Amino acid sequence: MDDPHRNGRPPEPRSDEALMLSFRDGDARAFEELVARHRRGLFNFLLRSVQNRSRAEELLQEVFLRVVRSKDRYERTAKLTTWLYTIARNLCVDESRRAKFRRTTSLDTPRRGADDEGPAMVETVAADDVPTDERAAAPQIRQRIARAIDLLPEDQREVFLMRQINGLSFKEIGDIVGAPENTVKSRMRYALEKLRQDLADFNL
Amino acid sequence: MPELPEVESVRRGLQAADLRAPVIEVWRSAYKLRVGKSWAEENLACLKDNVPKDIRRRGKYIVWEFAGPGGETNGLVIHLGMSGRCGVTTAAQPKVTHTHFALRMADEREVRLVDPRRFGGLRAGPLHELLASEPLGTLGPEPLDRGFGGAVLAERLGSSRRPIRDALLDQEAVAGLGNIYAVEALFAAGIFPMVEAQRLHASAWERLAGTIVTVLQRGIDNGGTTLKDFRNVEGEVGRNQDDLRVYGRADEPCPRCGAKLVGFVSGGRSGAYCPRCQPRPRTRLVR
Repeated sequence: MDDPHRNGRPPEPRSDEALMLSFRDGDARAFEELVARHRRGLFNFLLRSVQNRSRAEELLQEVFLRVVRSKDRYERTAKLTTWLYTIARNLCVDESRRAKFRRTTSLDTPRRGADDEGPAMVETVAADDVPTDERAAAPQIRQRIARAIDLLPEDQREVFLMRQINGLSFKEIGDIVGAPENTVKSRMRYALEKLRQDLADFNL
Repeated sequence: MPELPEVESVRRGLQAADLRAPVIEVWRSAYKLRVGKSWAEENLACLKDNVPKDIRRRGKYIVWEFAGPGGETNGLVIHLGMSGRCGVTTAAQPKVTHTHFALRMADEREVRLVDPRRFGGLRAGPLHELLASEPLGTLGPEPLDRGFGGAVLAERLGSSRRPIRDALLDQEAVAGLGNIYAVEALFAAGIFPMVEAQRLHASAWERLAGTIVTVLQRGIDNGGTTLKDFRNVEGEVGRNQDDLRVYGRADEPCPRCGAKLVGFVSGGRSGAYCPRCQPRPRTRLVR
């Protein structure tokens, strides 16, 4: 019988898709593993989209609720991350529609102004290995970058976030937003150009 | 039983019907509805020739204001009980089985109460008397009103030895909250549902007050929770049952951490909690 530890190495981690199939077949621990893997990335994506920490947490739970409810219908036809981010994006679109319907703020309000509950910049653009002499300027830089990201058009911002923050491939992003891969790449290019313009005064 | 969001959904439906024509007939079936001292005298006949005004909600009750023919202000209190449904139809439509009340307006529309289980209640009379007497007069603060917060909850429940989930169901402490939304609010606040209410620290009360508002608002946004009977004025089911995080989901995974949810029964009412997100407290005070 094969011993997975015979080389003294831990077994390869199971893929997301394998975990989801296990969960579908009744392995509750597999779902815990999936939540642990994707919780942070999804939360950051949601937080940047809805700009409200408690609302992002609510939506994150809704993403996982939908996964639980749909588990019996799950089939390994695409990457699990594609499915997860499609759910998250759809929730953000719904949220955006509701927000437009409810909006009562003044036209003078900045378009995506940060409130007290807004995302902590450190959670979305933080780097752990910043040299000490640059740390003093880091919060200011992060704030500027985050604001520039917020000012991107919706279709460019979601592509930028999924690519840069969540590390998804252009193909995956295309599947999630329902656009050809080349269109996604164009949006990413426009996003980067706009960010460069907005941050031109920074010597980045 | 319909809780605050379900009753609010019905109230909004009635309000949207824009009922302004005077009441020309009050019809009541021969069957008794809700029992108890507060509901013994329905006094519905006083609504004849009244003009409908604002429709409000207090806790789990609809409070409909009427202008009486002599200039007096009357009211109608509607309790939906377990299975009560309010609807607006034309007077020409035959009454369906289990219709127990109908207000016919001069524009030939009718507001009807259909209640198969007959736990619903009706009571009419001078509005100020209705507001001052039971059941409305003893209700606690409205959780969606300005001023509701942790201090209000702590003042009313902070010395209770009852499990916090059970204490939250006390309508004199907070109006409109029932089992489903109490269980959901405790999950959102990360509070173990069986902990004695008196062990909650001010910070936990504050957090809980916030999550009560959140789950109630979500329930309203979703048009209420339909587990079995609830329908809005249009006869549609609510959508909030698909959005419940823990209630009715014992043994399923927690949507926050993936751990298996645990079911419990207290005071004859069931609920569920996440043993990881809502751990049994080890310290005297729950922060």
